[in-house]
Amino acid sequence: MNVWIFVLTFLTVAMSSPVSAREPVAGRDFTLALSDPTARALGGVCFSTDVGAEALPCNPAFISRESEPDFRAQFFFGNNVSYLEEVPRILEGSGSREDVRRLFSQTRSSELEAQLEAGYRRPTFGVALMPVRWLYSSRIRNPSLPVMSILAAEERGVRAQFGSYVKNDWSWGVQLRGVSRRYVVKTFTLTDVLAEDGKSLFSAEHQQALYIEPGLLKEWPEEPWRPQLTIAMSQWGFVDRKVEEFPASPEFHLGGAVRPEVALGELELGLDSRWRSGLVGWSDPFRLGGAYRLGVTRWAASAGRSDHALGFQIRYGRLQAGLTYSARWIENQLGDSEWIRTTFIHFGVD
Amino acid sequence: MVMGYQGMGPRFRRQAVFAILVLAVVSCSPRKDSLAERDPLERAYRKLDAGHVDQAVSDLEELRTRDQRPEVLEALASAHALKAGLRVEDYWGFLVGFRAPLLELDKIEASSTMTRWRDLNGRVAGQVQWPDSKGLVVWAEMLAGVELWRERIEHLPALTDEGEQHVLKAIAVLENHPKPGARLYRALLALIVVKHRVLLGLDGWSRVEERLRAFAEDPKAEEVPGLMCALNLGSFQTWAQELLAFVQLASSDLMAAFPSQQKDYRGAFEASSQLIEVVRAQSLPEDCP
Repeated sequence: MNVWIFVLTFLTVAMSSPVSAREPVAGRDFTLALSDPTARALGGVCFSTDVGAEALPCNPAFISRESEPDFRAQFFFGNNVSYLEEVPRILEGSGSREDVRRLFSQTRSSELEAQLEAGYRRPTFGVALMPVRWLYSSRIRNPSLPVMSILAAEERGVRAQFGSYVKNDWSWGVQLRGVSRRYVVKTFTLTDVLAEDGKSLFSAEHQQALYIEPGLLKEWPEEPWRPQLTIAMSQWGFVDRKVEEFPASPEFHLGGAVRPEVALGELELGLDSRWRSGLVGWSDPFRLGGAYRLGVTRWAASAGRSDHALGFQIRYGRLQAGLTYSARWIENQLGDSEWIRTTFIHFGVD
Repeated sequence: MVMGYQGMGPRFRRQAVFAILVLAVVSCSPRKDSLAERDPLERAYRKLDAGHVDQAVSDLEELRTRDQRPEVLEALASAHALKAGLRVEDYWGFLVGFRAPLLELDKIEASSTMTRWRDLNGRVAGQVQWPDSKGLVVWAEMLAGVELWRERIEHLPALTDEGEQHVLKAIAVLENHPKPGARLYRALLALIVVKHRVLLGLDGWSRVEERLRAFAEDPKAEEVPGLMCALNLGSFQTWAQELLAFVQLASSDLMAAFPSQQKDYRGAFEASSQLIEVVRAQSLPEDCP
């Protein structure tokens, strides 16, 4: 019965009228998001729980809970680019007037991301290597002289987590994360590209970043539902070059989770609040989410003020694969409300 | 039985607090738009996308008085162009396969216009004296040169007379713009005007040829002065000067957009200047009613 109160509350969140919010071409929620299926499905709730499906836990304090070594690697990819059909035809020279019109009539941003990551966890220590992460975002407006804003980035990174149990069911952890980025972030008109030296618009720049991200975990393992309280800080660090799309602007997470007993499988429900600069409404920080595992399948879902996500994973031996769906409510370039929906696929090996 | 908060068990109190917090989250009023409110230029783009062009023009005219960003002028020029009905799909083909409509003086003699002129002149010259035939051949050469452009500018969109007025405003907005891309756009707009004027000129010349053909059927010396007046060559003089001015403007902007190809476009600029002088020097029939 009590579980159902939470499930109904969660559904109320998921189905409620979302906030209308117009997204910049490449906001930090896209550029700094974890390109991981569990983190994408849970959002900030990832910091309040550790469902064990990521390369490393979002909150490094959970590394202290590892019981045995574990290795996994995964590839994660998704996009909502709507003009993938028109661009090749236009580039080949066989594009029609209608193809050109459709390409330059986009009403919202188009995004693509992909990541390859491998991680190794053991009690109190974890390390993950991200040899590549690709990001692409574009926005086009003005049907007379198209103005295009694009972000294209390639990242490489490595992160290491250290953690330990303290006492009285308190644990701590810290993540050191280094990221090297090569990126192009530009706004230009169509004729800027076609004029001489237009290619110089796309010369890449670089940013090196080092983050120090601590976390705390307090558990009540003897209580019913085994509640836990989490505190974490992410994106706190240093960059060699300030870039608006990749800010070194810390986020503070305060959240909690419960693990009620269920007849079948394992259920974990969490609530996260994410505090950072640029928040507008007082309710913006909050996110509710949950994960459920039954046998070889795992489900995760979360919802916030203007977006929600749902992920599904299945295991077969050491292989795993899944889909994640996310939807974001925005106000598009015509001033109409619109959902941006993205589906991600991932597959990996343990 | 009514149970107050104190009467609830601790577990249920936790659940109630949790549910109230969540419901409070979802019941809040929507958050306002962000980027469009911060940047009036983005608001103007939004209006252009939504088809509220007049409003966008008005907003951008006001914005340019207090915002010196070059992008504001580009947006305003494109708004004027959109009022003329110009959208990217109308000129995309011309722009990506761009070949400058340079004056190819060496191909004029072989053109169809000059072939027709030589035929007409041949039929008439043996029968009556053309006092102004030298002047007429200049116009024939001018229109022959313009007709050679037709193939290169056929992918440009057509304009109405009203549309041309909006494009002229767009061209004026971008004068001396610092960005090569904006100068390329201005050159494009100038070439669109050139196409409009070329079509007008070729249409006018076809009427001239019609009259000359009618005259050539039975040429009479006493009808030559009246014929010269009826051809209204003064309007061609005005037309030619304005057309060449736009060719000069486009050449100048193309030099700014493609500095490494300045030599080609300077050649077009100077050829246009010479032609303007030739046109200006042409004598026109006198004593026309």
